[in-house]
Amino acid sequence: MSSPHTNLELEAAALRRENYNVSIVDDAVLIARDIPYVTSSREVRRGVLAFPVEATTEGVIPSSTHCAYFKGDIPCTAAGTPLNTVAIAQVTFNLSKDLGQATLQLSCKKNHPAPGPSGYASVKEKLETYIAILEVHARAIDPSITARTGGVPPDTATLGPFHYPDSASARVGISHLNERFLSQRIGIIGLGGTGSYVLDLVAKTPVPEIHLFDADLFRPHNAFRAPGAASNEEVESGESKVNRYARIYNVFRTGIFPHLTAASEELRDILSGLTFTFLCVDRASESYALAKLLMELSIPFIDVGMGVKLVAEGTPCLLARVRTSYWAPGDAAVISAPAAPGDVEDDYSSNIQIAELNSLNAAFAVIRWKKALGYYQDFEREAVSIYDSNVQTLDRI
Amino acid sequence: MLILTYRTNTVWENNLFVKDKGEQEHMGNEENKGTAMHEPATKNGAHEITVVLNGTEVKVKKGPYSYEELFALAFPDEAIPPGYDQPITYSRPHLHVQGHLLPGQPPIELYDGEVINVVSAHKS
Repeated sequence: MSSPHTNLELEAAALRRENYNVSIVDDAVLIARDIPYVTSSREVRRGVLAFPVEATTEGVIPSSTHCAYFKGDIPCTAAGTPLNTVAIAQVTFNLSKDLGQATLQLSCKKNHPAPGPSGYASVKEKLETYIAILEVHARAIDPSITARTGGVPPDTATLGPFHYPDSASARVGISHLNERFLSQRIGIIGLGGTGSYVLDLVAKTPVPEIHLFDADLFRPHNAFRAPGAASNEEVESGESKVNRYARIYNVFRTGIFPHLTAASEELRDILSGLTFTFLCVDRASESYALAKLLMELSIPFIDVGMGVKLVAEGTPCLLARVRTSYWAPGDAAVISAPAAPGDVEDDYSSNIQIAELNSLNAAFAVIRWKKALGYYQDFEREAVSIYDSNVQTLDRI
Repeated sequence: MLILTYRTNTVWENNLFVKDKGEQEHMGNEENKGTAMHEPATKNGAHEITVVLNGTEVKVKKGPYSYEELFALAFPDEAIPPGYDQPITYSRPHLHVQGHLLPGQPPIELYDGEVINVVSAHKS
């Protein structure tokens, strides 16, 4: 059992995890921004929905009435005629200092109302009912539009994309360095061992958007090269890697966008909007094609790679190499050609339980990215760094 | 234990990373002494040294080795694929020297005990 205020925070956080841009102001009113709707001129715009909520020690429920308030033009169908699925009245309702007033009241009663003053069983049900009424017409014009923008309302902006504050950064006085991340839209192509660790590290920075690209399912062997632990049910569920990781990291932050593909032809449009990409692809030929695409799009990237050889002489053991290659517009190409004879000799595919190499590779990649952002001091600006385990050296080019 | 790190006069010469100029000079002296103490050795002279190639000790003839020759030592049954450019790294632990060799760069001299890694790093 939690306090009413805590329950309000939890309710808002739960909705933000589903990428709704919501906040609860004055412990009394839920405000949802970025709600798509259509105007009478058939223009798709975004408005603000709001309705009173009530917190108890048991949870949060919609209060007072089944109605909701809307800030925007009169919402219409895709044809531009006012909606008839919802009654619309002109009112004034104070939202917040920065948003001003809502001027419309929308009324949609449920056919089978739940007990309680609003007739809705939950805040989420009421919010999604009204969003659906408005959004369906906007989607008829623009199928890609959604209320789930992952946006963060200004009144919770100090949280960044996170569902709770990073008190450690504040305590040690490095919060201002986090500003370097605020304009970043990151792509991670390939959610295998190294890519999943890259996500684990990047997710803990306040970058607003992290786009995940992979076409594969999460299988048992992946669990041995991934952060955290997966249950047997999880690895047998047939869930895609990108959806799994989006689901896991959504409990921590917003702005994780799964894309069930890693093919370069399908990625061009999405990649062109990114500011940086981590290339964590297993096959050298795919990596090469994607690197060429990123260079063509002038998107800086880091290509990661590792190699493991079985040393059979004497007591068998492994020799491991971990590589990161950094490229930014204006640099010479850093990625090698698709053919790689070491792949033939590579013992990695038969010896996959080496998560420490994946995590080391990811850590080097993320440190190099942060150096490029100015987060870490950097005298070297290396294009390539290579760690060899048998001599414990970090060479750079 | 407190460990301080510092940078002084970092030198890159002939693809060798030498920690500082003083050490480079010292290393150079050591290497010269080493060469003088042994018989002059070349590939043609058939003087052999032991290096550690991809984790395994192998005997090779002393002399300068190019990128292509080191690759061939590591993968005797394979030709270098077109465009292949993974760095070959080498380390002389007792001299605190490390470096790398890329295609097209001048050959490097191999030393007894040198560790050479010819490993493709593409997996993730």
